[in-house]
Amino acid sequence: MLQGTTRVSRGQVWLKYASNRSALLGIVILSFFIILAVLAPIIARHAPFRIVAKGLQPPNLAYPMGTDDLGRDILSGFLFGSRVSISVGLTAALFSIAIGILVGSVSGFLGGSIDDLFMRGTDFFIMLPRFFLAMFLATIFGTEIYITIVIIGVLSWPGTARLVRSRFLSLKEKEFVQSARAIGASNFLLIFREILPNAISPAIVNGSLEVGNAILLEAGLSFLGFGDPNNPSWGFMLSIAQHFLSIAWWMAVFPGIGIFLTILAANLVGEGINEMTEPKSREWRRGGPIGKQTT
Amino acid sequence: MEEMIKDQDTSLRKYVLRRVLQAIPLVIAVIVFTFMMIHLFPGDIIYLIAGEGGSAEYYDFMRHAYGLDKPIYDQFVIYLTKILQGDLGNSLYFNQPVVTVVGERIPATLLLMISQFTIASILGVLLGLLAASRPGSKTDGSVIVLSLFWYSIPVFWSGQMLLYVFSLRLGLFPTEGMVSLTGDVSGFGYVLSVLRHLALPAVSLALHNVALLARVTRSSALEALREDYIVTALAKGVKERTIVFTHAFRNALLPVTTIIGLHLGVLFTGAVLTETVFSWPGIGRLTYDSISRRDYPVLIGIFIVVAVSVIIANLLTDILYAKLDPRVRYK
Repeated sequence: MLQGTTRVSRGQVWLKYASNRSALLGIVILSFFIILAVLAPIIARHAPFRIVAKGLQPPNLAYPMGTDDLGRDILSGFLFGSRVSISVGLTAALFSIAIGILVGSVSGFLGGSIDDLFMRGTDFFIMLPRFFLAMFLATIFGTEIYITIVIIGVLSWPGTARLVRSRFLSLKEKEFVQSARAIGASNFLLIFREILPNAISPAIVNGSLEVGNAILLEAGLSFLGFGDPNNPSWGFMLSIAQHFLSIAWWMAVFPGIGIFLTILAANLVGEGINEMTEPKSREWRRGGPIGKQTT
Repeated sequence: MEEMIKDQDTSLRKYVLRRVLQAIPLVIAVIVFTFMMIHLFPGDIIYLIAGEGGSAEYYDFMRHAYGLDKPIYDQFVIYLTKILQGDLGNSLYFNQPVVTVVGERIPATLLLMISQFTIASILGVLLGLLAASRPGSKTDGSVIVLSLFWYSIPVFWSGQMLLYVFSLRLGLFPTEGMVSLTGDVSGFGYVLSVLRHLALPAVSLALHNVALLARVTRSSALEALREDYIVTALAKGVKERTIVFTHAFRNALLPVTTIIGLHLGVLFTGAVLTETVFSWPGIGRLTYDSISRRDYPVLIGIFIVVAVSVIIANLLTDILYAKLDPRVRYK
């Protein structure tokens, strides 16, 4: 039961195979939703969030996801809502990867007081509960969709920056960097040509997880009432559904499944990449992809 | 020997002192940050303090009362002193100090958080250890898969689904609140009523954290089980079960403690969302209501309270960690 070496290998091989497959599944699901979101205006049979029929109809042929309390087609709402959720998720991932890599690499490479300053800042934002920060910022700056995207983006990159910086710190003194420096490579080249390609994998993994986090954050904000009523998302639909739970379960089930599947997909991709690029033995020190980097 | 013990005590004390001194500027930083953000408000700040729909004279009065006509540096000092003294402003809706409004609801949230946390920790750690003791097996696989599933479900949606199935449909649990309005107000009946109301929200929150804890425990237990002393123990004839549940457990406990402490912020977040679904009368529900009522002082106050709580929780976790693992004290 407790492993001798062969048992460990078999378990680990299985794990690698399963994680490759699950990462693939995650990519498939995400692509599916992205396609749905892009094609929404074409495939939706009715205008979203416009009253088209009798309210509170359970799923039927004309309205496969039913209608809500006002008589709006939920399927169309689902399709258009996906655009909000997914654009938020992808933007956050972009912010996370782009800004996170930039800040993390420069900070980790230069070290000293610049590093100190940046890390104090990022630590501050990593420590504070992200959801409450987002709520606070939304209270101050408003709930328009663009503001929400910026807020979530700004809250997404500190984690990646930390991870990238860690990598830079450990790679900075290695021989290949020293030799490049010896032949006269500039700092810019050192950062972006030499070290970065080796430091990028945690950024990618974290970026993928940030997609899930961002979608969840946006859904939660909308659920509580910080959503943009002009661009309703899945979370927004759930907040309305809350009031009609006893008589219209379909109002809550479908948007919820949407949120769940996209988050699941993002996590699958992130974990899959993590399994493929990191040796298993290092996992616990980083607390795995779900945990927080502490160094 | 006595020297060693004394050294341990001093090192712990020094560490505690160091960490406390580090925490203080963090709290100040939170207050500075809040102050900055408030002053970045795109409208007139007075609306954040005094609400909307007031007369011009009212706003002038409030402006003077809150020192908004003074230079910014003075304003900050006033703000800082007020908060450190526990004055977080007045709720627009309740017409009471924010600290009172928030303080009244903290016990309910604490009850919810502690109960879900207990369930999640016990179940999560057990499942993690179970998976770690049979790596690569079906049990291990199912734990991994199920954890990923539960971790990905939004906590407010699982709350809604649980509410729908077990309360609205099956009628097994009450649909809202912490106590029934028509029941006992004290004694055993009261406790039972609270427990019945607590069940669904606690479970929906716990599921998410069980998943997280199971994964972390499994990872760190696997890591711990790879150590050489495990092989030695096996060779010595110690029973496998003992090994898993003592050695691996104790080593897995350290990162679990870290996760638990660091995730207080997430616990609060979960509480906010779940309380809204179940109308549980805690801080979460207060947040939701304040949003719809535009009770800005309460919202800002809750942010400060939660942020400072997280700082304190991190501090306590670090101290606990240092107590369990002496190596940390010399960092």
